[in-house]
Amino acid sequence: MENILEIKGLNKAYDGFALKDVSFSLPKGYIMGFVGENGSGKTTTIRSILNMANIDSGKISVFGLDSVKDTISIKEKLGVVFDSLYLADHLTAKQIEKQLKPFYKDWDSKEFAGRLKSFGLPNNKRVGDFSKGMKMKLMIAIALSHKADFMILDEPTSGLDPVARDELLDILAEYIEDENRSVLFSTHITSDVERIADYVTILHNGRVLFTGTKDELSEKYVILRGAEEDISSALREKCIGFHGYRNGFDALLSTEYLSEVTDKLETETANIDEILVYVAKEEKYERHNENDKV
Amino acid sequence: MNDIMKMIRFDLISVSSLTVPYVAIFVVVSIIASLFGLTFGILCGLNFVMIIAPIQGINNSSCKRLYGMLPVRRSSVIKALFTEMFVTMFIGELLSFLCLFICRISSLYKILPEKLSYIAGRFSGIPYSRYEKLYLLAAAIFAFITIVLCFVQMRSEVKNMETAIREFIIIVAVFAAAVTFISVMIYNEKLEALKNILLPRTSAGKWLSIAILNAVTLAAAYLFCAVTVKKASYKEL
Repeated sequence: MENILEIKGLNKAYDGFALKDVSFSLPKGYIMGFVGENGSGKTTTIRSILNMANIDSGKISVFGLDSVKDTISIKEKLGVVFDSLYLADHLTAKQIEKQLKPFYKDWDSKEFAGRLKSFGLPNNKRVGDFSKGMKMKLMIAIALSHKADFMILDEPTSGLDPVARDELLDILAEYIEDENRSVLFSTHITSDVERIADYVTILHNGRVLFTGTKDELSEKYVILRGAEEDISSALREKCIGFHGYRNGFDALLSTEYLSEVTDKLETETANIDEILVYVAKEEKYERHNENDKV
Repeated sequence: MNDIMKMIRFDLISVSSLTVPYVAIFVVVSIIASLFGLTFGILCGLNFVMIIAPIQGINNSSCKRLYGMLPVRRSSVIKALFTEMFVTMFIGELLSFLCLFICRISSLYKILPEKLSYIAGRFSGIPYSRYEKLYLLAAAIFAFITIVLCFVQMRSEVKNMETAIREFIIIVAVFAAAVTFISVMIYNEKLEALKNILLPRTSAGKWLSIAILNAVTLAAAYLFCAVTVKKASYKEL
């Protein structure tokens, strides 16, 4: 399968935060959900792909081109949607088209007008007066009008009402129908990922916790439940985010240890939210232990 | 269309709906005032025009996220910004000259009420060799504002806006002090040689000074632009 995006060993450090050895790839024709809690490094990764952040080491390829050297050629074919409007909000959609058209060789004015119409966007109203959903649609209309083959969306659904979110996800699903286009969208609303993504990359504290297909993710972890006396100390050590309470415990467990689970314990499939919560719990627990040692 | 022209067009569309009405009003008011010989009003009006457009340019540069997404090199964005600043200010200077010219040749001030007509008449009556100093003054104001704005733009791109504003205040204060000192010295006939350089007696000398001022301004804008391109092209957006 040909990859539209490939990130290998990406490192980028800021004061108090760093992306550490981030690697993942996205094949053509698929949607990847880029998940992680706030501050996990999703936006920094996206900024690195767009060459808006200078990476310390690693390699990013988009369409097989180098993200630093070939940034102009990449951006010709790349659509970007941020969580807020990046355009001058006192302009109308028509004026914005006038501004952007000269930058893209493949800009299609008919396509833009058609998209505005089909998305229900007025072309004579200030875009600053648009609702959040309308602003997202406008940014997608721009991407579609310059024939972007790859769309990157940074938290596009946050702050959208359920109807607008649903509409946006439908647009993305329709966008990849021709199998030559791909979408990378970062979000912390994991239900969106579960609904439309084919691939998932989970970022946690600047590291890739998981990258692969959605099915692989659901096969990788389970939630383990039971009474504390029924779990061996060896298995307990392998649990992630172990949480004991009065009537028992629950924890996340990698499926590679399933053979060690006794009949007295129950397992169930873990969703993305649960994986994130247990991983965060584990980290909190480790930090707490380290503090105790100190 | 090359990248710089694309960016200029882009910025022009961004700021035109905000700036054009104000600039148009000030230009019309300035020309009408010139027709009636009200020269000082013209200079104030045109200086306002000269200031407002670059400020719009500086505001516009805050759309850094958008610039990071467009298929255009950062150096082109910076070059476009400096070109816009220089050209806008130069148009402001030319408008000042136009107004000064209209003011000199128009005799419409005669229909003004007596007191106003007297003031405007006195002003129009001064010898042409002295009147030409106003052109030099307008060019000097243009040069100073352009150079300072280009410097502020450079510092805001290379460092940040706070640093740029701090340095702007220092430059203006130092410049004001230097101008005051030189003016007092010239008034007291202590710096005759400098006076002859700054305020040439002949008409050709004055126009040569204006040309030199513009050339220096262009060179300064180019230099600040080159430094900004070198230092800020790889800065994160």
